[in-house]
Amino acid sequence: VRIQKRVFLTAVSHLLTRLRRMLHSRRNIVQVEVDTDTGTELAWTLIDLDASCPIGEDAGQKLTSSYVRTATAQRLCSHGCDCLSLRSRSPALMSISLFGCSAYFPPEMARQQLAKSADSDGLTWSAELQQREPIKASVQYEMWYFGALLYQVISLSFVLLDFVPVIR
Amino acid sequence: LVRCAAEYRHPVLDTFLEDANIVQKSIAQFKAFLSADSILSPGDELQVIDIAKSSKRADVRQWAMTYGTFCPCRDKRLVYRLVGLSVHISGTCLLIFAQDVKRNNAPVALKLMYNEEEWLREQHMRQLENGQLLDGKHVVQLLDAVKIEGDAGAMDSRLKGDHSYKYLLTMPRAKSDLNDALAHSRFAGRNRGQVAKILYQIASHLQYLNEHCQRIHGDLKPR
Repeated sequence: VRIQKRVFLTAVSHLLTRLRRMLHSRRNIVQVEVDTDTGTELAWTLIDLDASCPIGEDAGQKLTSSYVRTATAQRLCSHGCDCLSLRSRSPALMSISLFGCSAYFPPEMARQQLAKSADSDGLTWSAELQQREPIKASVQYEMWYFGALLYQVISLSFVLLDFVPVIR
Repeated sequence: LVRCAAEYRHPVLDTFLEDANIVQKSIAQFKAFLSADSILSPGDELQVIDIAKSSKRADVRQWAMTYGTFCPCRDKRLVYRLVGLSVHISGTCLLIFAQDVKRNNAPVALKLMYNEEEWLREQHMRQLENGQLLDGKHVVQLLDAVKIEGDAGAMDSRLKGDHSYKYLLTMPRAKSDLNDALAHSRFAGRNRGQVAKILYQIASHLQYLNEHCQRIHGDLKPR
């Protein structure tokens, strides 16, 4: 019983370590204590401005952690992965959201990144993906992210965008 | 210490026990033994540290209590005590929690980066054109931003990543993040008031950035 208890505790310890790493992955909306007239209270705020840029300048100067090489995307597409919106030829559905990735691109940025990635991989994508106009930072660009966030907080089962059927 | 390790019977510690005479020799050799990545993973290191903290030997306890102290500058003007393992490693950065020893052990988050441009942008974007800093109500402020003098990965194996991190940003540690709240509090899609409150707060931060500061966040994500 003592040995099994040790094995169990060790397993729980490893599990907690892994869960901790998983749950505390990088997110950009955090809860902090803020001072108020009556003391302090918890409020949601933003962190990480390494992808930030002035409105009107080129957006996406930092590759987000959801960056994926074209070859990987093509391989996933060829495996009939329905939840990978890359399969769709519709620009409106071109948001990249791959398994294991924590961030999302607006569709126009997805096209740009795929085209860049295709170049470096020596692969060719459809003309639709060859849009080379630099994406400019705008309020609309930011609102795409806010819309994705809104979807997540009003979803009943905390649906991840990765698993939203393309048809939606 | 050896007895404790034997009692613990963790498989990884078998290697540790096999070479247990190292512990008898000197604490310096013990340190070298623990920092050898080929023998113990960072997670297992921490378990050994826990054992060492209850050692009868004062020098072993002392070493265990200060294990993980990270000084990014040679003059030791910044001293952090690392807490646990890194909480995030990506292609761009490594994030780990720590206590800021010079600020009364205040809980902080250390963001180690290897790309100087992103490190500078993170600082630059927190300043308005007139030199004023962004309002801390809308964006978490930086406590420190320094170039790391030396190899962070060599200072502590938990700071090793795909790259050799050269730049450090220090921020106050948050109480929680939205992903945790969504996963554990089960308010998504259920508690209209709470959802509205969160969205309102985030929208006001974005409005401040977009309209007042004329910039975008560019990487908003709950998870």
